[in-house]
Amino acid sequence: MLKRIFLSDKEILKRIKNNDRTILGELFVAYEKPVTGFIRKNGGDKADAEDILQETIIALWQNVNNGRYQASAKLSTYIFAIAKNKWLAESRRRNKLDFDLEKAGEQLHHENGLKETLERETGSIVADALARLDFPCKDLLLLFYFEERKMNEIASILGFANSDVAKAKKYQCKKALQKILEKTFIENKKQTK
Amino acid sequence: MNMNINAEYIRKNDWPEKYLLGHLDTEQIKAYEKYLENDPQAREELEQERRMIEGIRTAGSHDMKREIQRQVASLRNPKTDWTFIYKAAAVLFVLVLVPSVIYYQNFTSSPAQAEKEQLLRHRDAPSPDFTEETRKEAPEYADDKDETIGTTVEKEKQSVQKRSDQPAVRQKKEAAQAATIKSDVSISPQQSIASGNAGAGHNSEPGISEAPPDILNEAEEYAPAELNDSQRRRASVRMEPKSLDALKNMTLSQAEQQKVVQFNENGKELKILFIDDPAVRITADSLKLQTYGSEKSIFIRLWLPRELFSASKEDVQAEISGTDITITFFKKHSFKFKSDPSEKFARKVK
Repeated sequence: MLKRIFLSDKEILKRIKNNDRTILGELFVAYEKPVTGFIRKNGGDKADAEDILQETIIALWQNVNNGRYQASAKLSTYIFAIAKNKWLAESRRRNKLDFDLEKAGEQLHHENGLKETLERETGSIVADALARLDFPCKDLLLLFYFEERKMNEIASILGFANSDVAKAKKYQCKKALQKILEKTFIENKKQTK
Repeated sequence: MNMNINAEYIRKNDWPEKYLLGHLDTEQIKAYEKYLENDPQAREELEQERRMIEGIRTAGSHDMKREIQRQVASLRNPKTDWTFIYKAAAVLFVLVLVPSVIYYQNFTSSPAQAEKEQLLRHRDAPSPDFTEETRKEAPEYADDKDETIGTTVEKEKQSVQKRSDQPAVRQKKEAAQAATIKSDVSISPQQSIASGNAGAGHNSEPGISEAPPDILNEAEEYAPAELNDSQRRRASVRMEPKSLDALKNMTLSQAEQQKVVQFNENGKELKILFIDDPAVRITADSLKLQTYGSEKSIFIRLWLPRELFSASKEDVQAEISGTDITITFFKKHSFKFKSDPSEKFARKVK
């Protein structure tokens, strides 16, 4: 039997700010029941609920770290509002899924290498390229672009002397990622021929 | 404010990224968007930047979703903490092993323990070589095998101590000790010795001494009267002195059938105490022994089956070669051992 996890708002925010990722699973367990109940009542199933709750937790993580979150209400209210909005957006998306897919297909038009690579398999190719970067480039780029943290926070998390060092390192890492992506495109191009 | 920007300025200040992340102010956004309208190359660079950032975010999102799933699975099915179990096992191992080693070192080699083990081993399969007397004695060991050894020994010690404290008994004990010391006869240094007659009271032969009957009778006074023969023997064995000094003063006053073989070799004194042990079979592959010694003196106690214990003078030979000692009975039963305190058994060599 899974025991219920009680977390105070203060503790949650503090742990997210401190990049304590062990809070992720605890948040999921803590909010699983109400979110699942809401989504089931509104036409979703358990898998939908899990997916929405995961995205909600990610959104919370990003918003706390990039400063968009303002503690004007209880955190549970904020989390539930995100989950609700995400499920409504997902419901709308599903209702016009065919139309969107057709529209997206028309947009695929390739002109140069990097553009073509990124358009075809953006997520997986970039993920592979990130994995090939030396430490701490992947972490640094994720902290900056995905979590949208400030440079001084990144410097603190990754142990850089200051934000300028982190900024210089970020520039190097970004260039390295672009290089890998370009190389990937060239290889894909050869295979296509 | 009319900003004058060009491709180099935009690239140098990383405007595509700042534009996509919302880090440009209103004026900069307007200027950049105006620039994009007139420069297809700049639009392409912005698109590449957008797709790369989108890819990083997608990858980050997938990573975090996997992390959530992993943590939830872990919370729902908590793994056994093997580290804790290993640590607990290690502590338990040490707690069990250390006392076991201490026990083994200090208690398993004791005469009482070894005697009991031998008794139990022989009880199930009595030797055909046993004499009738031996057969009668064995069940006595078996009958009291459940008796707590520690309690018995304590009782026996207290009883002996109580009796020894009586003035009359103390005098008899001293007389018995004096008589026993006198009966020990040193033999000339030889590599091979012949033992004397094992019969009671025959101490005229050099090499083997045995307490005369009167001394043995006196010794009966020191053993608890309420014990039977086997218990008295075991009690006497357990009460044997452990220290070298105590062993030097060892007497035959403990109701034990014992013989002492004593001789000197290159200024080194060797004293072998044969002990009659009816629980030992003549076919035994090894004989229990204890050795104590210093550079000048070696004391050995050897537990023998009755058949060997009763050997006559001509039937026993002892040979010394360095630290190796070989005792041969009837020119047939040879047992070899080292004069080393760690040596617990004399092994049969033929």
